[in-house]
Amino acid sequence: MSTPSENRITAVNSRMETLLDIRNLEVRFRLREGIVRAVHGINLRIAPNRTIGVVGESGCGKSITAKAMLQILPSRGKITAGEMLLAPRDGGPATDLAKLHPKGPEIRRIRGGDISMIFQEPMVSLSPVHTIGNQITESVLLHRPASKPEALDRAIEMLRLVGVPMPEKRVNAYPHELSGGLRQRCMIAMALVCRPRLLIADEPTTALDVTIQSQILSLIRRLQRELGMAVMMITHDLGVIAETSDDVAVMYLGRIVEQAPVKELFRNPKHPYTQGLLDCIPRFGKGRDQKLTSIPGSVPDPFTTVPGCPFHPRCAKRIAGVCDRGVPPLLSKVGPEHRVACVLYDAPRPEAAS
Amino acid sequence: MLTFLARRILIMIPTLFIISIVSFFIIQLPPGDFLTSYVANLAQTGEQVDEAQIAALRARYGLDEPFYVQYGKWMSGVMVGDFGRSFAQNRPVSELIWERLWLTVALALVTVVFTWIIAVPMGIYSATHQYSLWDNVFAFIGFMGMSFPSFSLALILLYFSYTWFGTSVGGLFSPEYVDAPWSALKVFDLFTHIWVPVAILAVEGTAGLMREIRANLLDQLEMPYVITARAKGLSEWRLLLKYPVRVAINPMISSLGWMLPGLVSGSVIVSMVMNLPTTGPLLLTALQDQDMYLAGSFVFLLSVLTVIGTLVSDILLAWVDPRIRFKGQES
Repeated sequence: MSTPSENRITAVNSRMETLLDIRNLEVRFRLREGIVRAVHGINLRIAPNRTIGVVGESGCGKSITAKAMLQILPSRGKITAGEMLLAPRDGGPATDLAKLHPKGPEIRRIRGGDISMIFQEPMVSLSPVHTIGNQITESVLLHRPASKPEALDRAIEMLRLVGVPMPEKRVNAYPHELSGGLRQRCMIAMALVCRPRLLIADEPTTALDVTIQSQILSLIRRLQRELGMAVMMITHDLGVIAETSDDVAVMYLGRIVEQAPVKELFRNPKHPYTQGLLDCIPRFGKGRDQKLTSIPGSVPDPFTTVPGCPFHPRCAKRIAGVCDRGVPPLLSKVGPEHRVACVLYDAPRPEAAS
Repeated sequence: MLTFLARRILIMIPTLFIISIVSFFIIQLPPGDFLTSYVANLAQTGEQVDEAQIAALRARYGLDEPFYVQYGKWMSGVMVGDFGRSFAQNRPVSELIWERLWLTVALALVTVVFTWIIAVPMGIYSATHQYSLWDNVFAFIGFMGMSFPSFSLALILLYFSYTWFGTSVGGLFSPEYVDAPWSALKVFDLFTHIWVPVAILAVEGTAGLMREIRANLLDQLEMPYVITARAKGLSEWRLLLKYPVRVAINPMISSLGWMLPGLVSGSVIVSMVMNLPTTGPLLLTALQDQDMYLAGSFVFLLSVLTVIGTLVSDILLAWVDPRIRFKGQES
């Protein structure tokens, strides 16, 4: 076990190194109604030992980004541009996940081995006709040189680690015999059994009730510390972000509109969309009379392309003639690690923008 | 599981009893009996009808007795394995049925296996390549097979098997083997004949099965548990067979049991056209002749097979689907 001060040091060090570097990722869907750009050139840096929270309304492209990272997009979706550079385990050149064939052996080694994912609904994300043990050992057998009994031992050990009571018995259980919280624990065990370097948690607590939610979140945090992995926490719930993340990326219509360390974002939100999201949450201590505002309008349907800033039709601070012209890049530096894509913060001098 | 089985088997007894009454009643429903149609036949051909002889026959078989007496006579025989005699053929019913039953079952089983071997891969391919060229080709072939009358297909195939391979028309054996004792040559002869009815019957069944697998599988392919498995790094092929195909095929495995009665009564028309020594044509003539005991025994046999088939289905379903299994244990 490492002492807290050691932990802080590794956290500071790991800020330097990058596990996965996503550059200009673009995902398009070819649908009967036309082509939808679900992810619109986003940049994300994921570092070991840190949690990056990705937050946004449904349909903003956060889940699609995660699925693109594993190349498990639905059949109509395609990565059309960008790079996703995964640092290798042992030196050597980085692997560009975007270039790998979605059915090829290279990406399959990475799935479940280097990058694992847990999904939103533990009810339907486990096979109904296979035992928990079968589904967990499958991962081990795929990625580690282990015999079946060894794999089963690892599965039991992992179930114990994620706090499933009586793991020797539960490995033989079918998903429908377990509660939602237990199923999500099994999902986590399944994702972590091969000690991945990055865990993508796609709304891991949305389908669970509140008490189970916080149990699962603290479980993920504890395992992250123990296994030293990076976590990408995808959610629409800013409460989950506040509880888990080190850094936050706010997404709107396939773009990252603001990115900052978590405290900075909550204390000092810059983008009108982020401000709007934060205004939707009731706060303790402000009493009953506090006003909860909602963002006017709704997410536009994906087939219409909004000219200019994608948020400007709903934005209270829009500047006519500016916001409906060009898309602001995520460049305006408003703090040491705080960037926002909004013309309000465009530095007047060109050198500051770079 | 054992108590479940025992309970199910006990329930079968009264069910079968009621079915036997109903089937006997239905057989008696048409006006007249075997002797009236026999007399009518004789009269048509201009033969003399000996009234005294008819009356004697009528008394012997109890045809004038009330329904429940006739039923009682028949049922007390059935209990000890005597299904009565066929009027038309003047032979024990059980002999007639058994003689044809095993060939019927053999034909049907080969057909089922054949149908599955063709339909399952086609269905899987169609689902995984939805709207592709081959999906459409398979759908076209399938629907053609389903809508084309099987008896005309039978005639066409008979023509080709005769002109191309010189195989004798109709039946399951060449004339020289029909009454010959079993030998390697006779088995070989059987195989040269059996493919025609198998192909015809399989064409009929393939389309439905294929479309069913395609539809079930399409429902499963984008299910979250499939994506979970893909995210583990499984290869597409193993993934497909282990998860969605397994779930998609479940309802069809459970329907295997219901095929039992169909095995015996099905394919009547094809069997008639091809002169196959199966049970289908026998049942048809028994009904036409009002051959009471033969027809009644047939209907009863079919009912027994239906009941057993349902039991088999339930067992299969519990066996392949853990969700069913556990519900059964709780109650």
